[in-house]
Amino acid sequence: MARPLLVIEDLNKSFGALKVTDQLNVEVEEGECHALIGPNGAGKTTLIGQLMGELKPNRGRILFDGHDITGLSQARRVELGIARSFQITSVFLDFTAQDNVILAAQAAQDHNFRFWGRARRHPDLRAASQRYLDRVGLGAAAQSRAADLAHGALRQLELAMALALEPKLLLLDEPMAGMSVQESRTMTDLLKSLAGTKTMLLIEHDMDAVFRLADRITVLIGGRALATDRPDAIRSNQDVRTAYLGEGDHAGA
Amino acid sequence: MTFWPPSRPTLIVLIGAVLLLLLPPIAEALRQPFVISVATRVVILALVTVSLDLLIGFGGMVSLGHAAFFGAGAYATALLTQLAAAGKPLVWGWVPPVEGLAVWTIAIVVAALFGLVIGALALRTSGFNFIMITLAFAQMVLFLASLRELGGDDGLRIPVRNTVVGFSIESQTALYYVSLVALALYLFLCDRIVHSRFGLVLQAIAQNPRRAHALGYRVYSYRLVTFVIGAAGAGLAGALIANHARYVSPDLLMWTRSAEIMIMVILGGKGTLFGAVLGAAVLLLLEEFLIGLTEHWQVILGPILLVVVLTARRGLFGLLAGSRGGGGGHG
Repeated sequence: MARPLLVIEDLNKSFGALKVTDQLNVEVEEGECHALIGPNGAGKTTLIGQLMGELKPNRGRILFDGHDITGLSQARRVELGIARSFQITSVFLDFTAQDNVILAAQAAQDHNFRFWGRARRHPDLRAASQRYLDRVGLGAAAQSRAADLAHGALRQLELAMALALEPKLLLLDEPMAGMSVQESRTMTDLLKSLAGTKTMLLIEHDMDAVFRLADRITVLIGGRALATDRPDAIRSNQDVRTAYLGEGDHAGA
Repeated sequence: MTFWPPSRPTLIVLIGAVLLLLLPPIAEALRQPFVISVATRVVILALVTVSLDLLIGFGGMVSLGHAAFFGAGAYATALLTQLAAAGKPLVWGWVPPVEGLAVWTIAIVVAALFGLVIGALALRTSGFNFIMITLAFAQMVLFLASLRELGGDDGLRIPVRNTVVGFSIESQTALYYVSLVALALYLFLCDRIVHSRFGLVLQAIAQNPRRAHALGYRVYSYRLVTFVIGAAGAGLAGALIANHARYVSPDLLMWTRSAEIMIMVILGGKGTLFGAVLGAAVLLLLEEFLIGLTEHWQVILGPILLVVVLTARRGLFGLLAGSRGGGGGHG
């Protein structure tokens, strides 16, 4: 279908002798939900770190939307349209849910060296914030302090912040981590509703969610891509079954 | 937010403002004019305390070198005013004016430049290292101030006070009101800043810098700009203290001064801005009072500070205004 939005070319990253990313090639097409699965230590989160610019790869290139972003700062990457959510919830705990999303919404507007007007009373920012909170089902909790929110709600807030950046590419680092079955299902529905409108790179251990959401799946083992294919093909791929799916107890769906 | 009835923090600020405004006539009426001089000192130190609260309470930048900017402003003022009084040129035959608006602007710029250089380097670190590096830089500025060309340990005497828009501030009351206006303006500026878009980002960075990065904010720039605004405020306070004492010495830049300002921030309640005024007033007045009582006054002051720090999360201002009170609250 579409052109690739994100191209990872021969990416290598090692910490000492440990190779966390090993000759990795992945293409994420515009509009698809591309899942990245693999056992713990397969190098999924370090890959997100490299895509965001928190970590510098040793070799290789990252192309995004036609730009070589390998050497760009995190701020430039966000400006170009990449947003992430964190595996371990990372929000501004002293602020209300609304303020958290306002911060993301105003980041998207990119003229924040403004010292005068009251940010919290800015009608556009408040409206945008409320829209994204409603979108993730957190509308009623807008005025709650983030520190007072339950785990599941914080995960939703995390997603609302990423969405409020209005990114072209969403990097979702285990959005279902630590969620109850019910919460996990709600989150999956939510992400499903974004399908087609947002390009997503999804890291997730919940295989029910992965097989429901993903258009394509890349299996990562020891920093290498073992296979990239459609979900049904991945499920029946013998190498993948041996190396990963067959071993664990996640396979059934 | 409506303006009437005022919230408790607003009420406290209003009462404080009225008290400060009425202080000189009351002191005159009670024939205690020296009170005005003490109050001027309180107001000036409140100004430098507010500027440090902006860094600590909102920017999460615990600087132990803030006296450097206070001293930079004071020395700049002293040097320029000495030259102005003597009719000697500074550079290229330019004789500085006695006018405070000019001299103090230069003092603010000098302090801000020190802030820019020191901040640019110190903000590459964080946490404990940041505290140590700001302290180290302040010691270097202290060394500069101790040079013989700048009066050495004896410091510099200032023959005349600056004028303000041509008016003399030789009277204690005039300098008091000028200092009060400076404090009010800076407080107003900081209050606007912390509630602006910039301020919201600044506070977010203090809470969770990694997340702020991931939202695309250039964390370093926000912190540096704030650091410079704080240094500028301290520089203005320095210009005023030079006028107040008509004398500057390396004493102004000692690291104990930085620590004292930090104690004022904590005592008043960090992240409250207006609490800084309270912190400066209470600490200075307590010192004055206890020194009169016993030469071992620190033995009494220490435990008092401990009690406040341990019992009041947001300092004295938090105690008065309720735990959610303060300029930096969720308003």
